[in-house]
Amino acid sequence: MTINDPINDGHVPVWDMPTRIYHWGQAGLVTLALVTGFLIPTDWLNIHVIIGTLIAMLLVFRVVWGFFGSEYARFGSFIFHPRRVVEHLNSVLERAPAPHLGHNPAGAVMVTLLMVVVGLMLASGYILLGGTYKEGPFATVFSYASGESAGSVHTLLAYGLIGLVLIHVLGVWVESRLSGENLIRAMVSGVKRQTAAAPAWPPRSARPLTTGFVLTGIGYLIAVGLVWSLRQPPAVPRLAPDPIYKAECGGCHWVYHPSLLPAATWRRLMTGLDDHFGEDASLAPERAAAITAWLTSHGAETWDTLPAHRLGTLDPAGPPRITTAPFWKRQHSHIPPAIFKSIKGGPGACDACHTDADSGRFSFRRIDRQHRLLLQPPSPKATP
Amino acid sequence: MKQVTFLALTTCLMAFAVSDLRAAEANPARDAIMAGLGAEAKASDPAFAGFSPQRGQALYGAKSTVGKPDTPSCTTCHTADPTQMGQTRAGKEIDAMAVSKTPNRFTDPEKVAKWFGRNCNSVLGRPCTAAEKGDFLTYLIGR
Ligand code: HEC
Ligand code: HEC
Ligand code: HEC
Repeated sequence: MTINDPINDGHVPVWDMPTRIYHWGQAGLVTLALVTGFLIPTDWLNIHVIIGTLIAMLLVFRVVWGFFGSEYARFGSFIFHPRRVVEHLNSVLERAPAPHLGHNPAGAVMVTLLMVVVGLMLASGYILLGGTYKEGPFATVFSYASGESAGSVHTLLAYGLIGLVLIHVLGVWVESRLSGENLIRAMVSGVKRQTAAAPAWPPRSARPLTTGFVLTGIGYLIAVGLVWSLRQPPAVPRLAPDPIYKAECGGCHWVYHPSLLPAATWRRLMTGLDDHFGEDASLAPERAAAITAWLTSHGAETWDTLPAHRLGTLDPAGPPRITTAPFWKRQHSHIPPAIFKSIKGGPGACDACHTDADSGRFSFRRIDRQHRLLLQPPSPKATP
Repeated sequence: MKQVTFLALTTCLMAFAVSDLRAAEANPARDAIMAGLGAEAKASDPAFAGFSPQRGQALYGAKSTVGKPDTPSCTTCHTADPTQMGQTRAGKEIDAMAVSKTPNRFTDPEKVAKWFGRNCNSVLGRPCTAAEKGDFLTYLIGR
């Protein structure tokens, strides 16, 4: 079977090279995105974002190719009347599907659904990245609340996409069995058996030049958008610590970012300094008052970051600790205790692992993994 | 006011005479702190006969069961050897307490008062007396 000689062996080219590259690229990357999205720990999540960006690039190309590609790549070649879709499904149930060179009507619906769902997942993913994590091109555009809503949509769509992919694979397998033509091999070689069902119109050929032109235009618009997003003020406003706070509260440990506790909890912590987690940390009253004023006016309530929203709901009667908050414990439950032991200051030394801790952002992209990767079993002489 | 300063200065000279201060460089701010402590000690105990580095060393290494359980001794954070770097319970390094290693130690009266206030309460469960403070500083100035 060769593509060069379609007439002689009864095969005709159907899927052009770009469509095939798109198909298998998309199949591989979407699988990877699903696996990483569901399974990898937060500090590796940047891989998922990179995969998503590659999928976005492929999808943009595919949409343009849907207008300027060769015949069977064009959206116009797989728009069917709903009645034809029902007819086709019936013919499958009767084990005699009508042959189609391009997508059959049921396949066309599936392909469209897959592209729409992947597109929506990309959109919700970028809103989640910007709103919740204050990262990526939309960091300054979306609020935490929109990020969280987009996150729920993103997760729901992911389950939906798994279902769609399974049905898609099942459909291909059934059609291949019933029609006697291996559709998977056809998506590799690009050729299909000549059937009577060729379209009534002469096959349109690809317009690579126009495609290149349109893609350049889109690329230009994206570049302009990126430059704009890079020139925005930081998504998490920079706040230098009050000098008195820094001097008095940075002597024994990291200078905790004020967004990490709600104002009421800061106030309570500041009134119990004579018994501060098992130590006397008392201060001259006027300096304590200045610190209390600064901390409570910059508490969790005044920030739109992930830790501020999740720690800002701390039980006001509980201990004024970040590291006993349920959210904090859940986030760090993957980390073996030996890692925290290996760090000077233990769990409370946020800045030992979070390189953006001083900004209060705590992005998953700024977690120093060397503690995890370099973890050695504790040497015997280290224990007294 | 003048009389108090005069009294402080004379007590300071007395303190110098009986304690081993030769190892450390003279520093006016630190001298003033020592003088103040000397005057205070004299005022509360007329029999006060100067600070002792030996008593200071004993206080530095003493184990206490009275204070907060996590901080039984000054050495918990300042390490047994005052010429070494210490570490807080929350992991921050503390410069060596020995003046020979950290020359600007005990030169800010507010800082000294604040940390004596905190650490004596944490370790001993009570404020330190002026004599204890003076002994402690004398020991570290000589190290
Ligand atoms: C004398 C030393 C000392 C000083 C000064 C001090 N702290 Fe602490 N702080 C500690 C210790 C010790 C802990 C408990 C560390 C642990 O158990 O891991 C702690 C814990 C905390 C925690 C809880 C961290 C967690 O684990 O969630 C907060 C918040 C905190 N300190 C805020 C402050 C503030 C605000 C000030 C200034 C008013 C201050 N600290 C000054 C010693 C100190
Ligand atoms: C031992 C290093 C370490 C220390 C210390 C540490 N973290 Fe983390 N933190 C991590 C790791 C690793 C993750 C990712 C967890 C995972 O893999 O699921 C994380 C996740 C988080 C997240 C979620 C980030 C996201 O994008 O979802 C927040 C918020 C956070 N940490 C806050 C804190 C705060 C506040 C402190 C200090 C009280 C702290 N961490 C101390 C290692 C650390
Ligand atoms: C919980 C840890 C801890 C313990 C226990 C502790 N200290 Fe300290 N101490 C500190 C820290 C932290 C500083 C600040 C060091 C700095 O700023 O370099 C300090 C500073 C001081 C200072 C002021 C130093 C200066 O440069 O002015 C004095 C005096 C002092 N400690 C005395 C004591 C005495 C006396 C004890 C025992 C009764 C003691 N400390 C026990 C943590 C501790």
